[in-house]
Amino acid sequence: MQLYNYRADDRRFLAERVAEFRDQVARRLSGALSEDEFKPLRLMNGLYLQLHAYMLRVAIPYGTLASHQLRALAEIARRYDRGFGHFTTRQNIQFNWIKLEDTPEILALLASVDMHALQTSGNCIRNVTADHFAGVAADEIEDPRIWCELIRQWSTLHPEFSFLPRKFKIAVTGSPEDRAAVRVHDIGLVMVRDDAGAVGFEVLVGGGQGRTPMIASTIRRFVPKRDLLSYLEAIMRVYNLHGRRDNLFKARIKILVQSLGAEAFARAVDAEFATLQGGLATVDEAAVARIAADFAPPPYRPADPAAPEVKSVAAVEPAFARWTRTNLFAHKVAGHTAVIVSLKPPGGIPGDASADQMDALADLADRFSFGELRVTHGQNLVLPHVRLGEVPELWRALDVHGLATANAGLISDMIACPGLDYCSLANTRSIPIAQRLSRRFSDPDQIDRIGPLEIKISGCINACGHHHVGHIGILGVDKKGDEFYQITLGGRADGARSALGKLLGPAIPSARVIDVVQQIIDTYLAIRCPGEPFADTVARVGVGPFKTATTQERRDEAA
Amino acid sequence: MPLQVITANRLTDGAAVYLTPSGGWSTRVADAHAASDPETLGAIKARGDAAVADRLVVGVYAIPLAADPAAGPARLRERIRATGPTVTPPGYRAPADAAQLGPAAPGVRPDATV
Repeated sequence: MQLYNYRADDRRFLAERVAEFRDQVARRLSGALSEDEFKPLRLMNGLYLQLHAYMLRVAIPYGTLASHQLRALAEIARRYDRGFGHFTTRQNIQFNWIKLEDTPEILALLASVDMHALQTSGNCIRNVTADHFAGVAADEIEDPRIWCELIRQWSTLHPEFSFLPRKFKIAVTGSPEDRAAVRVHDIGLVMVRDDAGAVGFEVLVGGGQGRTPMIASTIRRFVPKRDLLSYLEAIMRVYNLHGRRDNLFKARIKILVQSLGAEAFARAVDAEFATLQGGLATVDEAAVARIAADFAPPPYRPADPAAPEVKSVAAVEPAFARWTRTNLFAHKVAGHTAVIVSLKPPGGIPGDASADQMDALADLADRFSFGELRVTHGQNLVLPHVRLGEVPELWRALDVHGLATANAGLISDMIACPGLDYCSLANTRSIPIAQRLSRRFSDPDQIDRIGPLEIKISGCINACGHHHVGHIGILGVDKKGDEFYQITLGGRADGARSALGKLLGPAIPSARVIDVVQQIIDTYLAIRCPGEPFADTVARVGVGPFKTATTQERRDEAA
Repeated sequence: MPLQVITANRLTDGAAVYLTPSGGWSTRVADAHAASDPETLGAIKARGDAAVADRLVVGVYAIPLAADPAAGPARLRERIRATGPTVTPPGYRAPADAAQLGPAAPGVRPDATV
């Protein structure tokens, strides 16, 4: 299994953290700690207070999860929560009804499977995310998770960077094809080769979403591996010193990069880097080699000539054929495939999985994928190493558990934040919009015809639902107590083509959202060039034709 | 001035609770002490704040009720907070004392159909 193998030191560290939090909770319940004193402590352990209860956010570092870890998450859902978990857009999982007094036990259970809730809250470096096809993708230069793990270890409780001006998110991809949305992160790292063929990192800084969305700028084309942490440290120092602390809304690094300009920011980083290069944070090759050994490829077996061929099964099973067209991803090892398990059934809640589904997926991971799973930032799961000959059997097993929805990358494969159904920051609900859209767009032929399309829905301007980079973005706004939604078109987060969506028009009431999306789709189908995906059509024609189509409807209604 | 009630989150489990006339805390808005005159409101808010010191609740604040108080809180956020999510997650298992979830939750306008 490709999984960072916790050493005795790692386990001791987690055990100490759990003991520390157990003591902090006891002191809170006894009154020795006030809420003001306790709040930052619980947040450092991923425990939020939401609308209905405490919510625990558990990190799934760079989206890699082992079957026994998923079983532990299922057990938490069943024993300590209400039977389900919610996978988030940052490769975390959230539990929504956690009791304060249970939290130390839950953290101990997590620690028993080498998991934790560190770096899931607070103004620190958050859970590092990665391409969910890391180690699998044929186009990959190197497995980025080795470097994610190094960054995780370096950044966990880093004393200098535990009280930053604001939270800080890093995403890493090892492929030129960006599946980790690196340009909308505080730091995006893209593994590249220099002219001599050495592998290093292109460093992008200052991307982000929220109320001031920005696409990141490249501040250095190539940082050698040995200097990665020193260079990151230089960026963090410049941000820590010069980032604003007087205004919460201007405290992210993107505001600093924007106000200085990317070039001036890069010069400041270079000056700091000059003092750090070759110093304490220089990457220890032996340490990297130890981590890399944990991510060695699993023992793939050659194809079984007796196994049924995907093509021949697809020829007689149209539903299977459809699913293989959307939910398989080319594996770098012949005879294998990565399988996307959609958590977006018609009428479902994006990213939610029941405890039973989690247990079932853990079993399927053991049977078909060397016990390994991935969590995607698109709120789906992946079985990364499935033999092609076993795909039909896997599909049937997934179907039994309601996990064989054939829609990966299609219109009903939406991102939605928890919204006002759970979140204390939200202005409007997100999930019911996603549910209504997925019911409207549930006919397999229809969604096939529409083709690749990403709808992303946020219940407030904080943009956890990534609406700014949705091909169709939907943002909930409160208008005098009523739920209204702003629609943007043309956002995307795929590498160099990354762009922020453009506003279609004034916000519309909840009841109209589904019809307006239908109108947008109808317009697209009418004007697209043959084979042209939605995002490319919008890039070609702009929002004009869509604005006309949806405004016309408003005029007709008013008449 | 509309009727207001005092709400908070219970320290032990974070549940949304409402201050009752007897000075206890209930998970039902209908049990809450509703008042509209500033003097009474000030007094019950002070009672709520005292419960923070007693480690019963955190985050005490006042919320207005709807024009028809039987409809619950005036704002959607507080209606959802009072009655639970308007959606039902897969595998959802409500504890014995919790309301069933779903679009029919009382006080929340049913979501429009497709």
